[in-house]
Amino acid sequence: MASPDITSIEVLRSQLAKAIQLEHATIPPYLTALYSIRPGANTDATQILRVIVVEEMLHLTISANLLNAIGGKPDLTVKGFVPSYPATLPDGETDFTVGVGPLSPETLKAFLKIERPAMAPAGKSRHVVRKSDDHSTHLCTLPEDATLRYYSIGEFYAAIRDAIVYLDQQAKAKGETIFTGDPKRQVTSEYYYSGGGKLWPIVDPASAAKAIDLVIQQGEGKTQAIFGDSGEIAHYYRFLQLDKNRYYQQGDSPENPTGPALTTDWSAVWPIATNLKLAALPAGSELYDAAVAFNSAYRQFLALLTRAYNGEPQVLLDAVPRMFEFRNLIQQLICNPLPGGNGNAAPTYEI
Amino acid sequence: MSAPNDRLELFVALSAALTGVKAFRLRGTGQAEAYLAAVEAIVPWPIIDDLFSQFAALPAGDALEPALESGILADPRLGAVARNLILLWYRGAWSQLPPAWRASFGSSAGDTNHVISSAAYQAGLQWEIAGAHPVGARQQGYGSWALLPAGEDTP
Repeated sequence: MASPDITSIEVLRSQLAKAIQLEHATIPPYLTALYSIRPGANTDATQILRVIVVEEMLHLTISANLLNAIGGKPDLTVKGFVPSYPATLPDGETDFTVGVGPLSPETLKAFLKIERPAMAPAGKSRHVVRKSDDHSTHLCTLPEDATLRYYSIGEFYAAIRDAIVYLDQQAKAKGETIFTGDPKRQVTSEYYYSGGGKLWPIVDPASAAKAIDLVIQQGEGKTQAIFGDSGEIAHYYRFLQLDKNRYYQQGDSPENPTGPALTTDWSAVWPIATNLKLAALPAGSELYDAAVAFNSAYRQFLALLTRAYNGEPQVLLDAVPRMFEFRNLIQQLICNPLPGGNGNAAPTYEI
Repeated sequence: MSAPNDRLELFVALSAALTGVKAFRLRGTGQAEAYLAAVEAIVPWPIIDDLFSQFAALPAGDALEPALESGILADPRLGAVARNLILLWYRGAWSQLPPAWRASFGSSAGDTNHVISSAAYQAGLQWEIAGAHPVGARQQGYGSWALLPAGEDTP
């Protein structure tokens, strides 16, 4: 199928760079919500968030593999890579924002929207016109026109999938291929700590389509099924368990989970500020220094990932444990009160 | 600021003076409330109140440390509790008060050697001070115990 949005390999590369940015953009909100839980409380929510964060790292790596496969160079250190939160995401005709804040019923709603993107109704354009009327980072934009956005995250990925097929067919007609990347730059399962072998080298349209499908399905579920082929529950349903106070088990309908009960104590969460910025912290204060220290550690983490995605895959083995080491630095912020009694501090992710 | 918060803040300030670790870092463990609750469940309230009021009356600055030693640590009734607070913050665990103290000032059912919680164990100051990972509670990942802890990147 022709992809009217993505007409050249250069544009495809730039859209895949946006996919890497998109997959990463979920990590700060999820990680912050995870560590906003008070020590020892909400073990179910903690476990659910932890698993999802690890899999978002997997999706990030898959996006990097896709870009590497077509001769691109992932760079997680470019200016603006980390959104200025709240970031804006499309959800059909309307947008929604995802921010950095405490675990709450409201943040859970945003997380559910991230994980279950709507597809444009049949016959409707997959684009939505938006005026950029604020300074927040808009994700899922069209190539070279930030006032146009995809209908949803699902449509954003569908356009990439179509473009890969289309551009590779065009290349093949000339006896070429778009899969010109060095296979050594592919990050495969031996470099990633996770349950199963879920990373494979992307070398052709079939392995690329499989990768995109995994990212979409692990989020929203395979054709909206609760459990995937490997018996693994989709992120959307993992989160929905927190809303329905019950786990899903095989055979359940989406409306009615029948597994063990679980409870979330929304009050057992540190009262952290939402979308805090460094500018709100008194310069030279302990809070300010701790926020700067965290941002610096996070910048190093992104530099580490960039190395892993540029020919040093073994570096990724350190990256996931390192991400969870942020707990101590984040806790310094979320357990300490802001001046003026406005709740507690939080990481600002101003990289 | 409400009264319970004042009590927590006083507890953290006392703990900072005793442990030599700044109040900011102590609060950053997330354990301040849990430790205060543990102390209040184990040590008779009049003794805690005396410990807090004695500490609140100490001078600030350079004079604090000698005053802490003579006014609290050398006190037969308050000293043992204060030393236990140091152990509590460093280990995330409560140690039974000395037999002589228990004989003189009373013993409660909760005054046994015990870890406050799994989170407190991991939050113990000993690990960070030693530049080590909490034994048996390292973050996930094969071989991750071989990585330096956060903040220890440049040995």
